[in-house]
Amino acid sequence: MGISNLAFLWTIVFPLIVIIYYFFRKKYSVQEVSSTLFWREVMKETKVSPYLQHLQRNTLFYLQMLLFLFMILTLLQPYIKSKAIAGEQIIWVVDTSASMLVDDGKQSVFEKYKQEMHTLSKQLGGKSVTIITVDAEPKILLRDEQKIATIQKAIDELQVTYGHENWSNTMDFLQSIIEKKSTAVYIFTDAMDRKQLPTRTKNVKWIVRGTDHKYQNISLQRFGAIQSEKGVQAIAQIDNQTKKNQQATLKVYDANNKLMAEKNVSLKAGQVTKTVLNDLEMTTALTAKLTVNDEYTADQSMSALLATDQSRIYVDQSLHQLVFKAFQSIDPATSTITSKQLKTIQGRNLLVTNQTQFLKQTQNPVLLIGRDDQKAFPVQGNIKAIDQNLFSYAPIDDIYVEKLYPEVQNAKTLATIDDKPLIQQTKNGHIVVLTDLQMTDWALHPSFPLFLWNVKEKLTATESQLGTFKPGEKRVISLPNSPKNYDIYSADNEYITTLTDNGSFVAPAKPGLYYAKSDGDDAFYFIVALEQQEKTLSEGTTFQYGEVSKKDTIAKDDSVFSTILIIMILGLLIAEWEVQRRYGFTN
Amino acid sequence: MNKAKTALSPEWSSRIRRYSLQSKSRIRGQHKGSHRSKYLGSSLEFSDFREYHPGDDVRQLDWNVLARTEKYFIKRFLDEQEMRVHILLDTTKSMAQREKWKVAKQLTVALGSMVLNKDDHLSFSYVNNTTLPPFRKKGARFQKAFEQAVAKLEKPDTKGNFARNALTVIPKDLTVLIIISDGLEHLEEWQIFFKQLPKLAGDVRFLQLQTAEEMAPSYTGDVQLVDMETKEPLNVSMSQAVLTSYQQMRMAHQKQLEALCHQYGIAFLSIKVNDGIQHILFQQLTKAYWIR
Repeated sequence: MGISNLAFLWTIVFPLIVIIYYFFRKKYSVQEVSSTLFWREVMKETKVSPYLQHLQRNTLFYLQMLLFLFMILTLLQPYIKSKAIAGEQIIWVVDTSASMLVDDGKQSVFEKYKQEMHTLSKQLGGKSVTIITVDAEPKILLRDEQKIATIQKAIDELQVTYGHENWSNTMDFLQSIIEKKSTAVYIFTDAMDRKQLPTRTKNVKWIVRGTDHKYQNISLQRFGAIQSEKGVQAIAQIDNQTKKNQQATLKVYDANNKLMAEKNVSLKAGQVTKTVLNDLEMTTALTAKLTVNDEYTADQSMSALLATDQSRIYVDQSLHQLVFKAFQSIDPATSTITSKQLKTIQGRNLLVTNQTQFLKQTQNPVLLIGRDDQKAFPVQGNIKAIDQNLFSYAPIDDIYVEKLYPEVQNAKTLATIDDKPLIQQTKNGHIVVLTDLQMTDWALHPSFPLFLWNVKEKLTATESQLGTFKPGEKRVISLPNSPKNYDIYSADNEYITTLTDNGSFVAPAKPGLYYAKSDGDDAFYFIVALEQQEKTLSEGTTFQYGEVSKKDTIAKDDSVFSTILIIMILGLLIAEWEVQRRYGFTN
Repeated sequence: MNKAKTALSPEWSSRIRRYSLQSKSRIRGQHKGSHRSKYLGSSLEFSDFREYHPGDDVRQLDWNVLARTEKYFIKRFLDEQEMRVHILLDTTKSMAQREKWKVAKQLTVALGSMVLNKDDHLSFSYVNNTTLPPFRKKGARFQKAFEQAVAKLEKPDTKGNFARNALTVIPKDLTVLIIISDGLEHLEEWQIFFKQLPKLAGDVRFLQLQTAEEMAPSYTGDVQLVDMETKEPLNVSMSQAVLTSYQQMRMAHQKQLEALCHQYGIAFLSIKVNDGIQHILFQQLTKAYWIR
């Protein structure tokens, strides 16, 4: 219990005045009577309970006293001094990195903290809470929220985002939101270095919750696979961070979650063990899962995409050397061959030529630079890119084109010069550049190799993979049928989300193998991988640092009191009214 | 208290002279009085004739009748006897209430005057702790003396209980005993007292004096009531409930007192002193056939 508004204590004067009035009022007027015979009898009757009679006689006085006392109490604003959270402003910083999933068998650290936050939320006493999650970058979940229901909902919705916490970022961010008010910052993490905390502690109390426990961990540090002539070979690196020798089982699954290989590995205490799996079947992606007895399971699974991209680039010898040079810088395996040899190329290899006849075939994607069947004509004017996809990293509006070949019929125009087609895409998907390198200065611009890279990606990406992402990473990716919607599924064919705009791809939070798929298209595999830092656990500590004034540690839960007091005052007023009505003022 | 106050005005005195105390009591004094008695006696009032039987007083023979009819008849006359009236005044301190005391004294004087006027024997006494001789006279000439005797009573200051001690000051063989009191004593005491009275007098009358204040107290607030007799204070917070309770007590006492009087053949009359002596004498007492 405490009092919020001690200044109102002066109102005690009012009841004192009433008490004094009652003290000094005429007590008993003496009256001589012939005999008190009957009076004694009367008094005998009423004096059965003197206390009760006294009460009855002074009802109005006591009611008035009570009324005044309650009024004073209301003005003083009492509250229950519950074990309250310090500080006027409360900030909860929640680490949502993967290492928060360490589990002592009963409960993960993250769940434990969620429960703790629930407990704390009940002790807020009307103070506002800001909840910040820490991942690669800090994120505000709640800002100065006072409603307990909202706070608890936000706590329930907290989830591990598997990223690696970036403390320096978070601290800078925290400094910006800590106001001049006294602030209590709760940091819920597994392990945090004391040095990470800012030195400014005036009016800020840092309460850091660490794990206080060294968890047993064996992590699958690295996993990779390569395709060779012998088949697929996979390598796994397992780090035993415990102080005991351990036995583990490594299982390798293919993209369809089918078990491909299984191997028992013995791990020496505190050492990294390498293990190789040979002669695996060809597949697009491999997932390794480590079965071992430890307390942190998030780092026991890794996926690897197989380098299945076998497409090569063949450049026609008759083309300008710069074309070959440019492609070589993109892919060292680029070959330059004669037009005759070009015709023999099988599979999905990119052919770069000026032979218009290649546009008819559909097996290999073709980049046609110039036309051998038409004569060029001079052109002058502005270059305008119609389809931005190919020029996304390399705007071409500043290049100079001297001459232009006539357009290819039935083709989509991607860029124009003086409203005449400059770059086209045929129905078969081939790209046509209607100029020779000799007729333009494009090759001298940095946009040229980037354009070629874009073309290569666009034409050969059909069976490609999207790569590896950090949990929740945002990255611009280029999918071939970009206007279409891609659905993203996990390796277990569980629907995750739909990708509507490939410009803002956000990787799922949970590490694992995923694929994006559009209607009738092949699946594009990608991996969400845990960051290496999250594979090592360190022991955390719980500590407090800095201080806030004690005044702010009081939770002021006065709402209940005020309501009760006001109801009581009303009740007393009614009672006084009734007593006065029945007995009058004097009695 | 001076004489003028106690003494009745001349106008009253003449008015009072017209009244006399009425009583059917058979106990009479030995002296001749002015009251016709039921007994045959030697008064001038004729009663009836009766045949002579041997042994009768021959002096009472009606010679005229004998002369005319030659039959022996005895002529009988009603007796004329004096009444022995005693007035017992309650002089305990409870009577000290100004109005009450005044009316009590006036009543005593008025009734006493009536008695003396009719040449009856009047005695007057009150419970006194001293051995002051009580007034005891016969005849109208003692009226002034009686008035003075009453006027001498300055203030009621008798200590102790009236009902308990009254018996000692009442003479025997009374025709009428008039008790003037406020009746504010315990019923048990009254009962003991009343029980003895029929032996002493043939006609006992209890005149209860009550003040308006007693009948309907007008006190409000917290009042310390001081008993005039015992001087004991009693704190009472007046409220409707207390007053109602008081009224109930008083009425109960009144009824029981009346019942007690009835039980012992005592005439009971309750008088409100605030009505004034005139009203009491000529309305209330006459209405009750106490005086005529």
